[in-house]
Amino acid sequence: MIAMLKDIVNKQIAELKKLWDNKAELLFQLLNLAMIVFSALMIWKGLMFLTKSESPVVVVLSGSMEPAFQRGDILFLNNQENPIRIGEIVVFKIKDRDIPIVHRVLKVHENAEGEVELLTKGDNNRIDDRSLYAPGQLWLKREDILGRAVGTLRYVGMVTIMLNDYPMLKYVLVGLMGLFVLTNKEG
Amino acid sequence: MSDSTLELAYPVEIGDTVQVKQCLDESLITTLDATYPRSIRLDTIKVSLMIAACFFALIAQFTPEPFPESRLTLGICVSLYFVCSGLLQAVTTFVEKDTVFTAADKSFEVRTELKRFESDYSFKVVVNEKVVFSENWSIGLFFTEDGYFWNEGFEAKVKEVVTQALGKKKE
Repeated sequence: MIAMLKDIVNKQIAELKKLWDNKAELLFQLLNLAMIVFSALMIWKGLMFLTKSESPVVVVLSGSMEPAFQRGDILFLNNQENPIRIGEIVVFKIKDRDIPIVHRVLKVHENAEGEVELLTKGDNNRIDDRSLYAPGQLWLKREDILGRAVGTLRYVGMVTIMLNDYPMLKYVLVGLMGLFVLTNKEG
Repeated sequence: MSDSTLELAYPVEIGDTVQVKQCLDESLITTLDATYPRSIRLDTIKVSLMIAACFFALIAQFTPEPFPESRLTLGICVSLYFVCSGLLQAVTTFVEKDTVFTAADKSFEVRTELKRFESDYSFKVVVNEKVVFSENWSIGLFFTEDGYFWNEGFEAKVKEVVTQALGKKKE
C-alpha cells in the first residue's frame, strides 16, 4: 500500500518535472486548470445574474426550519421583483453578519414611507426572529432579502458543511484536484 | 524490441487508451518537430481564447461595484466567457479534430486516432486535405505488457512513414 502510494507520488513528481521542462505545455495546462475553475465560477455568476440574487444557492446549516428543511439541504433561490408574501420561505442577511438565515415570512406590511417590511420565524423555533435581527431592528426590509426558496436538494449540502467545519479538508481536496488536472493531459 | 532501448520513464497504464495515445502523440510531435518546423497557429488561437476567457472571468470576479449594481457587468462578462469557451470547443472539435501535427509551411498534417478500449493506433498523413498515407499499428508493437514505451522504435517508424508519404506525394 505504501509502495503503491510512493509510486503514485513519484509519478506525479515526474509529470510535474516533465511539465516544467516544456513551458508551452505548462502554460496550456495552467490555462486549462484556470478554465475549469473559472467555468464553475462563471456558472455561479450566471446564476447570480439570472436570479438577481447575491447567493443563488445556499446550504441549510441549522435545524430551525425542520421538518421543511434539514441541516445539509441545498436551497435554490430566486430574487425577482414580485412581492414577497406571508408563508414564503426566504433567505435573508442581517447587517454586519456573514451567514444568511433561511426562515419563513410571518408578517408583511407597508410602513408610513411605503416601504415593505417583513417579520420572519423559523418553523422549528418558538419565537419570531426579532432577537436575531440587528440591535434596534424590528423588521426586515426588502433589500435584506437574498431571495426566496424555489427548489431544494436533500442532504447534498452536507459536503459543504464538512468542508467548512474542517478547512484543511478543503485545501487538501482542491490541491489534489489541481494536481490531477495539471498532470493528466486529457484533450 | 531490445531491452536496452526501452524508455526508462514510468510505465503507462496500457488499459488507459487516453494515456497511451498521449504518450504516442507526444513522441510523434517531438520526432517530427526535429525535422519539420511545426505550425503553432491553432495552439496560439486556443491559448488566446483561454486568456480572453480568463480575463472576462477575472473582471466578473473583481469588479469593484457590489452586487446588484454590478449585475450588468456580470451578465456581459459571463456571456463573453461562455462565447470564448464555446469558440475554444468549436476550434478543438471542428478545426483541430484529430490532427496532432501540422507543418509550418502547411505542406502536410498528421492525424491520429486510438479509440477507447481498442489497441490499433490509426496514423494518417494528409496533404491538401487528401490522405496520402494511412495505416493502423497495434500498440503492442511499441509497448511492453507492463506499459514501458519503445520510443526509439516508434520514432524510427514515424520518420520512415512520413518520408515515404511525402515522397509519394511529390510523385
